Amino acid sequence: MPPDSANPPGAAPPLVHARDLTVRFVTRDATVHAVNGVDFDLAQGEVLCILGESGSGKSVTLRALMRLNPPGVTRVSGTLRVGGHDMVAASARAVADLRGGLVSMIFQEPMTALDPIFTIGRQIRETILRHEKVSGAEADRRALELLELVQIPSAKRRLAAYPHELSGGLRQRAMIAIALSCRPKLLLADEPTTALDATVQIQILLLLRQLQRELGMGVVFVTHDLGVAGEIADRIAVMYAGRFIEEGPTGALMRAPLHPYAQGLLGATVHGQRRGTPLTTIPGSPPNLERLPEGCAFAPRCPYTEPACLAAVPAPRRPVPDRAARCIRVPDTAQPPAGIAA
Amino acid sequence: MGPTGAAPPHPDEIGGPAQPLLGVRGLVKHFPLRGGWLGGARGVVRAVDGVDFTIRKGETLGLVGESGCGKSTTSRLLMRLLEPTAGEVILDGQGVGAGGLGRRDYCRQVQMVFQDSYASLNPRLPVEESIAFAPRVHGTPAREALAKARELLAAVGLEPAQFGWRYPHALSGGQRQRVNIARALALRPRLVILDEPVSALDKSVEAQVLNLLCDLKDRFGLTYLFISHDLNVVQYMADRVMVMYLGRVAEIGPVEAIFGRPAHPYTAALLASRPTMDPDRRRTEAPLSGDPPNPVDPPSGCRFRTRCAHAEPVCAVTEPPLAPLGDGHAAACLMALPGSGHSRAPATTEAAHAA
Amino acid sequence: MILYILRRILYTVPIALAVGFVCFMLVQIAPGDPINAILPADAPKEVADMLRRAYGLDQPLPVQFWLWLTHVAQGDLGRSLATGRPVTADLANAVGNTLVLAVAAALIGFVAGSVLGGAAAAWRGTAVDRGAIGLAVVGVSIPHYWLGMVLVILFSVLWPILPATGISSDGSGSWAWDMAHIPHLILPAVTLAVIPTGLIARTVRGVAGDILNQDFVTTLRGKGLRPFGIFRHVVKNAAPNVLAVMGLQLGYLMGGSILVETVFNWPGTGLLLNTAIFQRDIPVLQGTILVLALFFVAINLAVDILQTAIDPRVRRG
Repeated sequence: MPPDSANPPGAAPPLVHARDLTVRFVTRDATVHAVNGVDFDLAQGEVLCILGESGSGKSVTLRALMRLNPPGVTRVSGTLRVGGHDMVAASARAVADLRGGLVSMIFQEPMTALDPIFTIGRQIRETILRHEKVSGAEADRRALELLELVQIPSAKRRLAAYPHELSGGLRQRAMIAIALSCRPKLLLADEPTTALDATVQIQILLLLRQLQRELGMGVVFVTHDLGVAGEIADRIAVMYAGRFIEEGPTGALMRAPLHPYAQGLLGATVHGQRRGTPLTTIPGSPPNLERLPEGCAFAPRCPYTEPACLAAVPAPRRPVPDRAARCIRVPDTAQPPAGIAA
Repeated sequence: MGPTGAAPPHPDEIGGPAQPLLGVRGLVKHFPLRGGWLGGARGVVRAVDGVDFTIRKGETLGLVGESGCGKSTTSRLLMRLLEPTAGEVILDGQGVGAGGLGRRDYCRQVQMVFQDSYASLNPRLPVEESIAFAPRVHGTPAREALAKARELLAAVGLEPAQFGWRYPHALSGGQRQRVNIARALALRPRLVILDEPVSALDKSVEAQVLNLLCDLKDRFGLTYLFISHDLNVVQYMADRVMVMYLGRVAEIGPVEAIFGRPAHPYTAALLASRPTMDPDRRRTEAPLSGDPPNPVDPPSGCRFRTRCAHAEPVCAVTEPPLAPLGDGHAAACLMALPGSGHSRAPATTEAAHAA
Repeated sequence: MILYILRRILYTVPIALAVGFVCFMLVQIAPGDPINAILPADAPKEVADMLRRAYGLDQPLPVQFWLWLTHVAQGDLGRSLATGRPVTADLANAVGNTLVLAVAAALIGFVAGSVLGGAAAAWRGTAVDRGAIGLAVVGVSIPHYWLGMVLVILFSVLWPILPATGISSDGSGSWAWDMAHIPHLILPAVTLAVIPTGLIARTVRGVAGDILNQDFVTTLRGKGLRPFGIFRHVVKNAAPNVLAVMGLQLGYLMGGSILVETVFNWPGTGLLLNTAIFQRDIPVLQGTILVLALFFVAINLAVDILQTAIDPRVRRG
């Protein structure tokens, strides 16, 4: 939720620039309001984690960044620029040229996200050949380099392997190799460690962090796991009912969340609480995205609801520079030059 | 089903509080691997390969490990959903199987809650019917079973009049898992096996269900076997913890000992693999490299040696037994076994206790 | 892989034996006396008995089966009761003719069906989808002997550009790739292709539709692949399932064309079977059914091996 004038003269333009990004899924039966006005900027080399529960719109937001939501039923509005390209208005052809080149993505389940009957090598090679004018031999050489980059042991042999012949951790490394094959500026990660074992998850997180630094990529990382966010994110955005309800630097947000939902989520996450003391819980369940309530979407579950909460969706408020929350109880003391949601 | 407060002794109680509720000795389950010449077996998956442990009355035993460690197979063996290749199970002093406790009596006392809340309910039955089903099979009159099902729905926090007649698809994941818990309690079991009961739930719902499980344990005097890959949840729930690796027990002990003084390098690595929520204390190095090996062909000697930083030649030849470390804490590591031949092994038994 | 193929071939031996036994028994169980069928109604009983002995029909069943089997193994399927000619020679000619017709129909059906089904899957839920699937439903619903007659009326009678019946215009009873034969193939092949077209279209739409919904297709789009690049992946993933249905259809086409061969007077296995049934010509019936059934087994074997070659996940020692 950065201010509108995000481009002071002289500074590099942000890698991602989203304003009032809205995504709806329209079918004959219903309209699902999955993302309802998301604003954010991502600088080059920055890691933003979108944290939320199922149905919060975090994956839809991520997929909107490379227009990967199901065609036909998806309606996108607002402003979305990735690397200066307008991702809302660009032609399908132009977007396809950016995918895998400027921006690429890794997924939660590497077993189903890889084509089961093509070798790992071919799946890397075809990405390279799609975006760059190189020979097949050159593409194969690069594929080998990529497997070594993501630290797959005996990489040469693994080029000829099919996805089912690899362990879960190696499959996710291969997925990362494919995503990195054309040196993207922006990497999108959709819960890439959720399906992995604990000792493998930390390896993949460390690998992603190392690659992100070495290649200077911007990363948008979606997760429901606070610990994963804590390991990888520079900034965290907490999403609820299709909106960023809070955003801030990882440490500050984790230590002292501003929004009652973020507070509840942190309280409900088991991490070193004493046994015998009941865990904090958030009563009720998330709203139906087909019929969003007027005003703050969290109001029906919030312990601090007052009439003003129900009147209108709260605008982001900034108690300190660099942090914002959509809650009317948060003081708005660090007012930037021009509020974007005004 | 009494009101809240201390639970009365269970009607099946026989051995007294000091006798373990469940004892497992030498439990083995090998799955034949199909696809050899003329359809024969071409090997076995050693899913569970010689496991011993006990569960005390009224405690929660946490069971942790990664994929392929045998924790799900163990739970299914305890539920008698699978026949063990070898080994015995003892419930409150009574042997289970031929000549001992019959399957019916055993299953009444041991119930299970699965990870997939939807797949474990009959989609064509209203949830109260699902809960009443097992008691009816065990001879409770239909009307009485239904009344009891409604009581249980209330006990797990679902208003019977509002939820009882609903079908599973009309409930949220958290609500369905509550129904599954009610279903597991319908036979008034003594041991409830919770197999990743909160892994498919959102964090805010997870906390609700964990609180509920703690409540129910006190209220009905239950004993839990709590299986999870989430160490934070196990630390919160368990009195004792058992760590499994490739079909064997790597370490077992009180929760404070396992989380505070892990004696097996695998346990230490698992603990160190937990992501931190504090960005200032991030890991810089992964505690382990690679994935767990395939249980078809486990390494010789200590199964963990291929990923262990302290492995020595002796680890390849000696299969470490569970070495006692005092207070019921034991680890299957040659570094914990006095005189094992490992350079870091304690010299004497006293040294091990002092550790 | 080679070991797998060998094992797979070995597995087909008992299947082939069982098939032989079943078709031998089926004919035995069927009512009607074959001797009566070839003799005039007033023939003396002694003649009938003598014939019965000559053909071995007085022996117990197991002996008859064993006799039959040993002869079959040597390529001798006996002599036709109706014509006295060796079954093997007639059958070889008929199988050849049917194979030409079946393969032609299969090619038309598989290509047309894949195009229709592929288009339906690619434009799922649109007018293209509804149109293609409508055509497919019509294809499997039309009685093909009726369609054959309509085609004959249209293209041989009203607008005479193609011959109506037979296999050649020079009187030969077997197939050759020349202008005396090829025009004769068109109408029966098209008629016979209609059902497989519909079935393949529906299968391809279902299989391709499922694949397009899989996660890895999102990955492919995420890599920037254009529709043609994604198409290649879908084809290879769909191939194992589609091939299985195609193999089954080819099997049906080999034996299931009795009506069409009769309508077009095509001297293939269908016509042979038809004649044999009415004449209770047991050796011809047995031989034909056996050969057709063995074709089925062989096609299944081929499909199995192809599937294994395409999909690395089913590969076994």
